[in-house]
Amino acid sequence: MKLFTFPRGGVHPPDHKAPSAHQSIRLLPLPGQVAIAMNQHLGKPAKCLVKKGQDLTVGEKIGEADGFISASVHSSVAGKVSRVDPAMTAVGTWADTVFIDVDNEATAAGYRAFTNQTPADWRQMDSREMIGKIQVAGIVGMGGAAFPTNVKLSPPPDKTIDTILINGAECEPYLTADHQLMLERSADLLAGIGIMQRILGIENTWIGIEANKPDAIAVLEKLITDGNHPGIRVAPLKTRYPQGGEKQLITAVTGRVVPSGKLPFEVGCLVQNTGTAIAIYEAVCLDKPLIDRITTITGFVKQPGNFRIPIGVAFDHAIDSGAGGFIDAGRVRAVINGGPMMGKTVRTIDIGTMKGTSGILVLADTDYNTKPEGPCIRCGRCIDGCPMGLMPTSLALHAEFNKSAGLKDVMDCIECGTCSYVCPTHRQLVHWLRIGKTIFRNADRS
Amino acid sequence: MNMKRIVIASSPHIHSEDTLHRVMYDVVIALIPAMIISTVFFGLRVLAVMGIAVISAVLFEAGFLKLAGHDRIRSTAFDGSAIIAGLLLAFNVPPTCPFWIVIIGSFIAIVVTKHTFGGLGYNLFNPALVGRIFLLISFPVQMTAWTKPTFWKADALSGATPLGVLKTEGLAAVQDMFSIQSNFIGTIPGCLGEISAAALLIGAGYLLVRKVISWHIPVFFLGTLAVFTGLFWLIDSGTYANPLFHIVSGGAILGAFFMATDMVTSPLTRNGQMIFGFGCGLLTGIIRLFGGYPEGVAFAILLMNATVPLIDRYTEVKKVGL
Ligand code: SF4
Ligand code: SF4
Repeated sequence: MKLFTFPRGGVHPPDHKAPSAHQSIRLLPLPGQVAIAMNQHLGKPAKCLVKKGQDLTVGEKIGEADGFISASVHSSVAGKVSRVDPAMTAVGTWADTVFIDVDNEATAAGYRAFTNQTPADWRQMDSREMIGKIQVAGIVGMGGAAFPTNVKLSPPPDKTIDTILINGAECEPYLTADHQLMLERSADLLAGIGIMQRILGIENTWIGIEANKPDAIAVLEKLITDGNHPGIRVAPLKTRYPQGGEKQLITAVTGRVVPSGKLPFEVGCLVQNTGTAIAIYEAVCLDKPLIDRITTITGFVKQPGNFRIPIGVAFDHAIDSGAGGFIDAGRVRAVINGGPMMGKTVRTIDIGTMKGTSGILVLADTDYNTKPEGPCIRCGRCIDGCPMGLMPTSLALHAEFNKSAGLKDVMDCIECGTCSYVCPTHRQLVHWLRIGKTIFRNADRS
Repeated sequence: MNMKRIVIASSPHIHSEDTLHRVMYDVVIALIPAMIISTVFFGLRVLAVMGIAVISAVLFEAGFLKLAGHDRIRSTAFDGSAIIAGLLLAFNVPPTCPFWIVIIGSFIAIVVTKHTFGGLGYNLFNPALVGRIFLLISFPVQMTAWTKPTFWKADALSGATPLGVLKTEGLAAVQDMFSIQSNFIGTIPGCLGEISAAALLIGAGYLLVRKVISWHIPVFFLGTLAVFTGLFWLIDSGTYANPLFHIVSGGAILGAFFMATDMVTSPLTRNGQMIFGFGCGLLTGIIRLFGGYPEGVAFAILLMNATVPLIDRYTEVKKVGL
């Protein structure tokens, strides 16, 4: 089998996927309260529409998209707003947050109503209507970056998209949610792809899947041969991090290179994560807003698995009621929103999950082998490992000494974490590069 | 819930098993075959030389860190880098070298060469090589008192190294006294650690397999040396030794695999490393064939160390999407 891969750098960390792989998607028992933040997406936070005491139904809009790069937010439960306050969110910033006391029965009924209806036929809809539904549903990229999906599907008029890439690489260690989605919801995934093809008026589509998920590759390869799915092909990818990086995936599959500082449509590509494609199907055919998602809860927990989580359920509730709790709370060192390479550590575990929460990863003291930062011994491993062809060690030094002149390449860093991962002296290269980006932006502005 | 020790940290949250200690101790492990051969051929005294070099290097390192008010003195002094500097210094002196001279070399390597530039990672020159050159210039008699190796004891008769004989008495004399095989195995007079090409190559293979070093510097170093000396040999094989002789003699193997590959003092990128290796090989050849000293490896590497900032500047990797 020919495996596609990106041309330079990368690593292959131990994948730790076995504990949650092939665990069928489970539902979480509902919590007493959910906390839904207005900054579920990249771009401007949504404007909150609700007040204390207000009654809400499942899927009711509670935040209005504010500007072009923004997305609406909906209630993931039925219940009563107990308060609206700024609060710390799982991405590490503060945002207006709606706290909703959950009405269990009404919530369950609300979800049933979405699933029990007959899906509308997207083949009868036109592109305007479908993009409208996607926008109304507040769909954002669900691989982690949470970029508003309708924006991606509306390229500027002077650009044409000729290739759709579905990102099923799931290259982050530990995470298995996309894998399980491809197995359990393959038909919905293909419908989501069909919708995108219709919106863009093209057929050429690749589904990129890392070779460590042979069953997902086999299932999809079989389904696409039925004649109803023109233009779709499966691209088996070499298992190598960050194969699922947007630019890496594009180059791996199409051979095209996104120019520095440009977006994928520059080379005619649209990349969407598998979870997003399914959310698109639900928005267009079921009029269901993005109010829940599939998330892997794994690591130092008793029963790792893949769960359907209403947005806003607290991390601790998800861990306790879904994954059986921590193995030993005293040994927990970090709880991560996302995967171990690019996810963010949460400050407290009583905050709500988000549209971008692809995983809840608990790391114990023994997993957490980061040591104090040492000096650079100039071994060059970070340079060999960088998939973007940067010189992480030099950029980090310039950031450390606040020299904006040497930082011109820093904006190309995709923060994949490969450089920090391989550095033998445990230099926090990504951390320095993030600081470098701020230094560069400030210098650029003045 | 007891979650006091939950950390807030920048991604990534996992790390490869590689550490500075692992990299450094891999180098120490790779030097073991040469240490054994040296002890077998020159006797137990070389163990004392190596021991004194290592211990003094670690003590100088710890002492300097203490004076500088450094925290984590113990872990830094034993990070392996001082041990390697000490060992390589010992490898670069004759087996008869007086102990006090070894200690002076250690001081030059650790305090002057490494720490005045800012310590590990910041030194421009290879510490052990600066130590060697300093000693060679300051104590020329003791530093060129060669003995022939015999099993377990150094021969009291002083000998001369193959490169020394070549320089002073010419090619015919070398061919009479030494065979390529003896050069390869190590039954020749020379510095303590450089005599046995075979033992060093075993260690080098280990470093390559463990990916501590890459092939770029050694291959370009030895390749250039071979081509350069080979050209002269082709022109006049009565005067010039063949390239194989040059590769297995003196410090070429030790230098190419263990000293020129020192990460701190060699270029960052692969392209830079190839240029660096080329320069080392060329300079070694020029010094050996036309210079005043019989051996040129140490000078060549140090000269190339000085060019590293320049090489780095012109060999930055090309970013994706340019
Ligand atoms: S510099 Fe950026 S893109 Fe390169 S390896 Fe590091 S995090 Fe990844
Ligand atoms: S991996 Fe670490 S030690 Fe090696 S060059 Fe990069 S920053 Fe320096």
